[in-house]
Amino acid sequence: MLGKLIKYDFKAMCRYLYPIYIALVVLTLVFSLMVKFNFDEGFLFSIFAFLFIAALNGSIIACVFFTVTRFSRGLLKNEGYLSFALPVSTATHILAKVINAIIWAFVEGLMLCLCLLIMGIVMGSIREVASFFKEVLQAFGMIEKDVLFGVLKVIVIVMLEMIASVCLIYAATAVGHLFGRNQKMIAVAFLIIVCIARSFLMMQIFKMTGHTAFAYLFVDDLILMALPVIFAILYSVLTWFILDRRLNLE
Amino acid sequence: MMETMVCNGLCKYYGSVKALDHVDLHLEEGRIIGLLGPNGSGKTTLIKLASRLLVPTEGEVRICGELPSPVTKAMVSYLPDRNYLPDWMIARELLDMYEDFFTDFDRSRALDMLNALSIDLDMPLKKMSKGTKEKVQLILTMSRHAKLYLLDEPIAGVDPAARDFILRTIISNYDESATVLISTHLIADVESVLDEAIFLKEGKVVLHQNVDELRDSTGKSVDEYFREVFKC
Repeated sequence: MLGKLIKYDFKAMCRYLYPIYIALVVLTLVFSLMVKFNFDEGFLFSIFAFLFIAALNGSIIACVFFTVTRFSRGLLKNEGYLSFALPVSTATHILAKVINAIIWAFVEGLMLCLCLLIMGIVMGSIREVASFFKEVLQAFGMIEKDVLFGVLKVIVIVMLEMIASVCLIYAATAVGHLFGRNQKMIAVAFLIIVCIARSFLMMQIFKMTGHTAFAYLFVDDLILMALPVIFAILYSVLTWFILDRRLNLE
Repeated sequence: MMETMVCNGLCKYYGSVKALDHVDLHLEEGRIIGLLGPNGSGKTTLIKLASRLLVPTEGEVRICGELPSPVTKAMVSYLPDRNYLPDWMIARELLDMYEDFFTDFDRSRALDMLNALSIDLDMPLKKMSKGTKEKVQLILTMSRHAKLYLLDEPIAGVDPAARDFILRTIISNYDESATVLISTHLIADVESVLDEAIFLKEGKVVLHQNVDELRDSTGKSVDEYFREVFKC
């Protein structure tokens, strides 16, 4: 059932995001060609440069926006009547939404890499692109002796933080649902309060363990790496409790 | 006869408001039952509790002996009182979705009904008229071989011709071993198909009786008796 839920969520998101991604790739190509052939002045270039930047930022904003609205529309609005009539547990619904968010974050990341690649290939050469990535890896090498391990650790931490953030947004949306009026405002207020509380807690932990906030990305301490997992579980339990025990679709 | 749905002391409070107040019900298989009451009497709340869209404040509801869960959801075919399907989907995708999630979904039965109504399988739901959307929803609901059909206001807001279609669809598609619970306040339209009637008033069951016995004992139609009980 989990796979089926993910499939339908993916399809629902796809219809919004794939036109944005197509526009992003086309604009990247046009922008890169204009730079390559020195059409990098004048009104037309300004327009395409603006559209390119807008598409780049827009795709990130759209990805986050549709991930959040997919959760609220699919579970807390009219579609919720169908979702909760399916022979699926509440926990499976939440897990499907989290996995869907992770999948789209990866797709977004891949699209941004693709744009970078297109720009590199059109403006320069494949060799230059390869050397750029090599330099990026070397930069990581300066921080960590074991480059691969360091990169992997950063990726894992970023992923875990991303999952925790998604779970927090879902929890905030669920908390907002408890209130008949001003649901969005309450969700945002909850989000801000939790972020502040979490920052304060992290500072205390850093103080106790003798790490700086920056070191958070590079410490070997597994407890610190497990923090986003603990937060994600806490947020998800809250979301589950509200959806399973306090759900009241209007 | 097997009891499809049983409520024992079922209560649901919204804050201090009692939506359902100690409801005891025993619904047997093979019956079409009208859940009748004015607006705000607790009909939708009772159906939502049976569908596990709400959790009781007190008491319990059991479906085929089980507390509401994913297991009972597989046995219950629920038609909410609103447009609940993703409106960007076309009818064919909705059939795929129901087939994916409900093992008791009968695609050929749904296709027969959609074709009989000349509903375009490739038309997105959002482009369909209100009446057609409601028909699609009912067709999907009634195309399952469920143990319990929970139909919340299935004929509200549709024209008389559509009402006839909806009632015909309900009668001709439910399995003999299943129970159909129809919530409505349009009694006159559904009276002819009902085996039993439940009157809900301010969250309490004030009557649960076989409709023939009700007519014999009161000398009135269910609709007439309803108007008497719920007179303002």
